[in-house]
Amino acid sequence: MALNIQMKPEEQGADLRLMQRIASGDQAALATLYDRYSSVLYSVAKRVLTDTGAAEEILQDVFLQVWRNASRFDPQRGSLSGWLLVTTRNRAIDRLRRRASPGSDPAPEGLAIPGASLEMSAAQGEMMARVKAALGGLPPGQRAALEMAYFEGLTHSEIAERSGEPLGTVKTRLRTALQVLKKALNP
Amino acid sequence: MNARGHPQFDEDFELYALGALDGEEKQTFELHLRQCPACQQRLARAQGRISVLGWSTDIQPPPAAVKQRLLGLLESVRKPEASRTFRVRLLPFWRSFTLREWGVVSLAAALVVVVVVSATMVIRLRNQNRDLQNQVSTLQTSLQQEKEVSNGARALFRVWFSPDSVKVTLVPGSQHPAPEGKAFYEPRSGGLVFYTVNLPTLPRNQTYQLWLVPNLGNPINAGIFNTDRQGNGGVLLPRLPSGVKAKAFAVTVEPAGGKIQPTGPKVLVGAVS
Repeated sequence: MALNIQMKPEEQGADLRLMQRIASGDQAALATLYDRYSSVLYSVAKRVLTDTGAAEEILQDVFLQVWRNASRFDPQRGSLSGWLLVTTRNRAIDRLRRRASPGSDPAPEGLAIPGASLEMSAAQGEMMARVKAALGGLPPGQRAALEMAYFEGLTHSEIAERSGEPLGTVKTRLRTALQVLKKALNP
Repeated sequence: MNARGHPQFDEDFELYALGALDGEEKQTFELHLRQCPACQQRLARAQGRISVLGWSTDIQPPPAAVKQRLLGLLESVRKPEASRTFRVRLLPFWRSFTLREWGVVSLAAALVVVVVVSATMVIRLRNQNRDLQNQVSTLQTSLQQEKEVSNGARALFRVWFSPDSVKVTLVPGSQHPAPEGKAFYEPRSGGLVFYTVNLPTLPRNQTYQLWLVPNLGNPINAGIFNTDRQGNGGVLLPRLPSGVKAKAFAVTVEPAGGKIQPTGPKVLVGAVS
C-alpha cells in the first residue's frame, strides 16, 4: 500500500536549493522557506493541540531545527515538505501526550491573531485540494478513525475506546481508509 | 535483504507511521524494524506519504509575530562551521631523496609533529581552562544576582496572591468602592499582569475574560479569571505574542471556559494613554 502524492519535482528542487543556502547561514533563505511552509505546519500543530500559543512554539522549534541541521537534510530519504510535516506532527503529538498526563496544565484557550496573509503556491493548493477531496470521499467512520489517528495520535485501541466501536472494526476501517486513499491519490 | 520480501508487514508501514499500531502488532513490527535496514527505509518513505494528510486541515497563517521572533532568534543560534580544506603542494626536490633519506626525514618530521601537537594541546588546554574559570566566575555572579531578584519576586507574589492577604481598596470619604482593574503591560515581551478589585462573583457557568485590544485587528484573548468573595481576581503573565501595541484593555463576561472573541457585556475598559 502506498500513498504516492508528493510535491512536484520543481518544488522539491527549489526546496533543496533553499536548504543548501540555509546550511551556509543564509537567513533570507530560511525566511523564504518559512513563508512557503509555515501556514500548513502551524495549522497541523494547532489542529493537534487546539492551542495557538503551543502551535506557535512548535512552529518556531521546527524552523530552528531546520536552521541548525539544514546541512544534514538528505533528499534521498524523502521530500522536505514531508520531513517538515512529520517533525511538526510528532512534536505536537508528543506535547499532546505530555499534556494528557496527570498533573500537567490544561489546554489554554486561544485565538488566531490577524496580521498575516495566507500565501500558498499552486502546487500546495493542488496538494491540499487533492487530499481534502480524497478524505471527503471516505465514509464518515473511516474518515473519523483516520483523523483521530493523525491529528490526535490515537492508536487502534484508543480509537476503539473513544468511538465505542469494536477493535476489529477500527482496524478494518483504518486499513480500508488507507487503501481507498491510495487509489484516490494515484488515479 | 529486499524489504518486499516481508509481505507480512506490507500494511503495517502506513499504520505505524500513522501511530495507530499498538500492542503485540507494534512490538512485532518494531522488533523486525530493528533488524531490517531496508524496512527502516521503507518506513521513512511511508512517514513521508502519511504526512500529506496534514494538508487536509484548514490552513491558517501563523501570526506575523512568530516569524519576527524566529528571525530574531537566528543570530543567537550557533550554526555549524563549514569545514575547511587544506591543499599541500609537493615540491620537486622531494623527488631526489633516497629511501634512507626519506626514512630519516620521515622520522624527524614525525618527531616535529609530535612535539608541535603536544605543545599546541598543552597551550589549548591551558587556554580552555582559563576560559572555563572565567565562565564559572561570571555564571556564579549572575546566579547570585538572579537569586536576589527571584527572592524579591517570590516575596512580592506571596503578598499579592496569598489568600490570607487582606486586600483593601481606599476611596475618598464615604464613597462605595467601585469595580476597578489595573493592567501592567510590556509590549516588547508580551508580558502582562492584571488584577481587579470589587468585581462581583459570577455564577459557575460564567467567567470574566480579559482582552488586549491591539491598534490593528481583533481583540486578543489575554486569559479568563474569576473573583473571590471580596471581588479580587486577576491574570498573571498570560501567553501573548510579543511586540503587539495595545490600544486598550477590556474585561467582558463570557460563558465558562471563555470565548475566542468577546461576546458578552463589557464590565471594565481602559484605554492605553
